Amino acid sequence: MFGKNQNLENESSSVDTIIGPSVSVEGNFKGDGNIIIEGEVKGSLKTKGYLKASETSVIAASIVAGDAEIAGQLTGNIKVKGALEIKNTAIIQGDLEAQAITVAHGAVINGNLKMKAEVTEKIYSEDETKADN
Amino acid sequence: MNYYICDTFTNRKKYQKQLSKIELLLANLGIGGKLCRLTVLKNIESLLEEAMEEGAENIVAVGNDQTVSKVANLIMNKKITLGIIPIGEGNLLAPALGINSAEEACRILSARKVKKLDVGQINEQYFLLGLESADDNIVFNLENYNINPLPNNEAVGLYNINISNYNFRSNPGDGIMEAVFAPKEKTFWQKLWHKKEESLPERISVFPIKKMTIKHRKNPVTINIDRQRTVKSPAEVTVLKNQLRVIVGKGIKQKSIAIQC
Repeated sequence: MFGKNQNLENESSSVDTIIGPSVSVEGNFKGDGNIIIEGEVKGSLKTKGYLKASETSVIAASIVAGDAEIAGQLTGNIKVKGALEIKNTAIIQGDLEAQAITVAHGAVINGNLKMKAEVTEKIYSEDETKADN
Repeated sequence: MNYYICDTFTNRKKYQKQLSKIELLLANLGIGGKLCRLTVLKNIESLLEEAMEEGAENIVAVGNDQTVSKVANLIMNKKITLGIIPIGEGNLLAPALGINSAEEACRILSARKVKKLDVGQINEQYFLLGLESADDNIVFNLENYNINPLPNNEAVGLYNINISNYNFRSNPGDGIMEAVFAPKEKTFWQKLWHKKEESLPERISVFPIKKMTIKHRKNPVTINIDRQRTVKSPAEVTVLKNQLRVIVGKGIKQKSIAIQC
């Protein structure tokens, strides 16, 4: 499995699904393992593992993943449990949610970014108790 | 009791010396049994029926992948263990199971290390190696999604064991088969046009599959089963986990070539 700081190149043999440039996937794709996308996906995509969408990927789907790296076109919301890395070639139309987000210079994002939900909740609760006192 | 079923092609003169050597080696190892040769008059169904009536425990396919596939199809759901002695051309399964030669196969049969392998079922037929089609009119319909190959595909397959030339992982004992879509190689002019991408080969697509329906877009497509039989789409495919008991070698090769990113 891929850790947050590991990249797919080093762990390439543990890739379970590859959606290459010669196929189009339509529907609700659900997997447990690591996924590489280089082709077309329409619908929704869920995985507990690592998701890598390369430059050639064209995704019109909502994504839920463990960790993710986006370098292609994405139309839809993405929710990542761990780290989300947006490459400079990425064009995203949708909301992003992750514990940690890295955005490269040149990436296009049209949507809301939401990070570290647990931390934000903590701050709010601290503020509320101060106000009560 | 061991039953050795020799395929029709092993009756050719060039295999006689090898067969005699194998018979001698089996006798020396103390695992000699009934050796049956398939002929035009003796078909595999009647031979296997006879073997089962006589209470055979191990049936050994002496021949190539086609022989193994034929035998495996007939002994499914029966309390029989399959052995393999590879002879002739077209043996991809035996090396994948750690059986590299006929002589080594005899010693492996003697050691009798049994492994349960997955078997695929397509409609009413079983397959051990995989399914293949060269028609990109095919559609893989899974429970929640469809996989549609684009027109630039060269071959489509579903593999239990990686018998193809493509690089992907396959394990015949994990209850999962790999659906593989391989794009056509770029022509010289395409490579020249996209000079930057020349060094990057078109990547194959790989999907883990347990159950699916093979459909078609316009006309029914021909699906090759274990490279010896064909069936037309639509067809229901199911992976039956650990369904066939096979005598294997020590080092089963799980063709596991790293997929380059």
